[in-house]
Amino acid sequence: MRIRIAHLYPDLMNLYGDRGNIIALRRRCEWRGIEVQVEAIDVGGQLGPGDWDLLFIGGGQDRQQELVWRDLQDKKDALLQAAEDGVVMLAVCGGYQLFGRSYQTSVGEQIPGVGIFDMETVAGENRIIGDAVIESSLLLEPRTLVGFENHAGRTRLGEGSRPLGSVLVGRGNNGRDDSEGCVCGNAFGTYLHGSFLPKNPHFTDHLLSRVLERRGESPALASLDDDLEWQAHETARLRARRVTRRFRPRSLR
Amino acid sequence: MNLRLTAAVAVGKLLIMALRVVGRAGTTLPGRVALALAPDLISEICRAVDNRIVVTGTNGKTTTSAMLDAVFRSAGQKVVRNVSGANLASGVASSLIEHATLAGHLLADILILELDEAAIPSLAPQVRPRLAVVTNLFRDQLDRFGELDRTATFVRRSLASAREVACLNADDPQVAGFQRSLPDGCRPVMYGVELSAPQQRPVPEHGVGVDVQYCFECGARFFYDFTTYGHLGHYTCPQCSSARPSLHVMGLITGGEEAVGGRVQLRLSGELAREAGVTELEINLRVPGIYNIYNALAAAAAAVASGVAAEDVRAGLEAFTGAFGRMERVQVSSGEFSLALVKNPAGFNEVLRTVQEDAGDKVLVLAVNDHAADGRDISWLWDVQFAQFSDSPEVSFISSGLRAHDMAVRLKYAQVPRERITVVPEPSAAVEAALDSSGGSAEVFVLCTYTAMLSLRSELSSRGAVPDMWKGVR
Repeated sequence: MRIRIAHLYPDLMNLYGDRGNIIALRRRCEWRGIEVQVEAIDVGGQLGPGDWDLLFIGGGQDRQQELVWRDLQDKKDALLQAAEDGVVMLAVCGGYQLFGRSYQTSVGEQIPGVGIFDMETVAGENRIIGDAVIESSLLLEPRTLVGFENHAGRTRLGEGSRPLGSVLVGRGNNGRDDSEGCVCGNAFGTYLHGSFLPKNPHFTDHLLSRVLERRGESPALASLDDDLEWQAHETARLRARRVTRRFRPRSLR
Repeated sequence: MNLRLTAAVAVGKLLIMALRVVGRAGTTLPGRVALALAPDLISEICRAVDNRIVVTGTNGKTTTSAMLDAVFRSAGQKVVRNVSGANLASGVASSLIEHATLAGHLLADILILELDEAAIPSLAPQVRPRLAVVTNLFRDQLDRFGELDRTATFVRRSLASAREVACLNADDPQVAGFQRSLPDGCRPVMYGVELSAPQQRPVPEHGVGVDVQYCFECGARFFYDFTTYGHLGHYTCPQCSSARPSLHVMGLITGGEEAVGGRVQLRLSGELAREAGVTELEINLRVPGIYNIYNALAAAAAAVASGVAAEDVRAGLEAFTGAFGRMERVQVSSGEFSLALVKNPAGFNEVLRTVQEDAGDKVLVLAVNDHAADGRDISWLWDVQFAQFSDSPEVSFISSGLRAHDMAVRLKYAQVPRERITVVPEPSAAVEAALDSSGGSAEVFVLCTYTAMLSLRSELSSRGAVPDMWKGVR
């Protein structure tokens, strides 16, 4: 059994150790005897339909995202088709924003997105920076996902869009409505890095299970000794609570 | 006499004394209080010394400043500089107060200030340096600075305050580009490394701690003849005419890989060669690592451009044995170890490479904290390369610090076998465990982020093992 992973723009979109997510996916497959093939898709590279089990895009600086969004318009149809076919996707931070409908820069320029997630992002005045903990909307045990957020964009989900979770510590999509990330079918978007997957082994396995399911295999994965990962998860959760001011929208206080 | 200034200096001096009596370094609070009393304190005190040098950049600020200090001393000049890491306004002010007279005079020939990249926009206009050095720009503490491009903008704008000379690292595309925006009357001195053919290194692999790879002029991907570390190297743009500029101070590295740790041949050209009276200078550094060669080149460029004789440059650099916490040898009752600061992927990778030049058994203590001074976002650990340790049974690891478990997970996912990873969160306990397990036969290396190093040092100095921070640097 072999899983094929497409890593979009590994050079341009790797601002916050995003490659750690690819490393986590790879190792957790290999430790279970599942073969993994990771291919880098760069600007101008081809993204044939039906080729991929899982697709990952990380975050980049403004200047690099400028190069990326134009290229993404060429890949838009292939990406939308892949999403429709149930290819598992993870988009983090800047990549998450570009997978939405649009992004409005600080000078009011409207950048079109891929449109996999029904959401719009507008650059805010200040960056949202800090540890974050969310309670996931997925059936995960434990429910918490931990990471670090660092983004100027404020993202608003469209009607009927489902967030990845609700904010326990941190700011999430926009610092107002308590939502963090977005889920649409097998596509997952989030602002959390840190790296995200290594510290959230349950979510990593959730992605892999979806890959297996889509391939018509049993989604059950052999269990691994995740002692260190869970201690890191717990440390991140506790550090976040100590360091980051707790945020709750007024409506929930 | 400026009474307001005198009062502020007096209060600052008293606070420094009081804090040291209770065992604290007094590197921030006295400056903060004095600045509240006399907001112009930094520019007022700076005025007393015409030859003012500032050093900024991501990596190598402290070492370059310390090397410059050694060079000017060997030339018989009296130097004042700020304490390592005290490179924000409050730290700079504290250091100035400590060395100033009550009238606010500095009895020195040279003032050397290392300045934080984020603090430099406000500090540079106050200091108005004669000469500015920019070492490099790597991703570092993104949670504080936001993005690397912003940091670059800070540094570029602050160079407008440099009066005569800007020493720029030509091997860093972003830093080299600053030469185009220097103010009138300020000339660039470009320094960089040339490798002889056998040591040419491949271009770094995809996305591994590499920040600048794309041409700032046209956006095409740079082609590298070689890289030395991170994105530093000899680059050309395949699309437009951008390339590494020609060098005024070239560090030619000859010989094998081990020579990278030490010998460098300096070649000076143009005006600098005329000023120095020589074109070549052989220097045997006593500190290891390619990053120290860059630091030495930066210091040499700044010293020569300040009129220091070539012989004094050599003598100063060859006498230099290391800055505070940069691969320092530390003795404790249970053994001996090397202590190094790590704060970003490029620096961490280079320290690991230096560690691996030692072929024997090793125990590595990796202490990672996530306080503001360390960078609260620790995701950069995933841009550090550890894969080379997956098949090195001679190396074992003790992960430590507030984020000890994140460090351990990073090692695990680099395929370091679980039995070679131990977690001991408290840094000084981790060092003890390392010395115990080494049994005197394995070398112990302790790599710490900033606050982990401070807490380890204060623990060790309370046992008399290392000098207190403010005594360790002069």
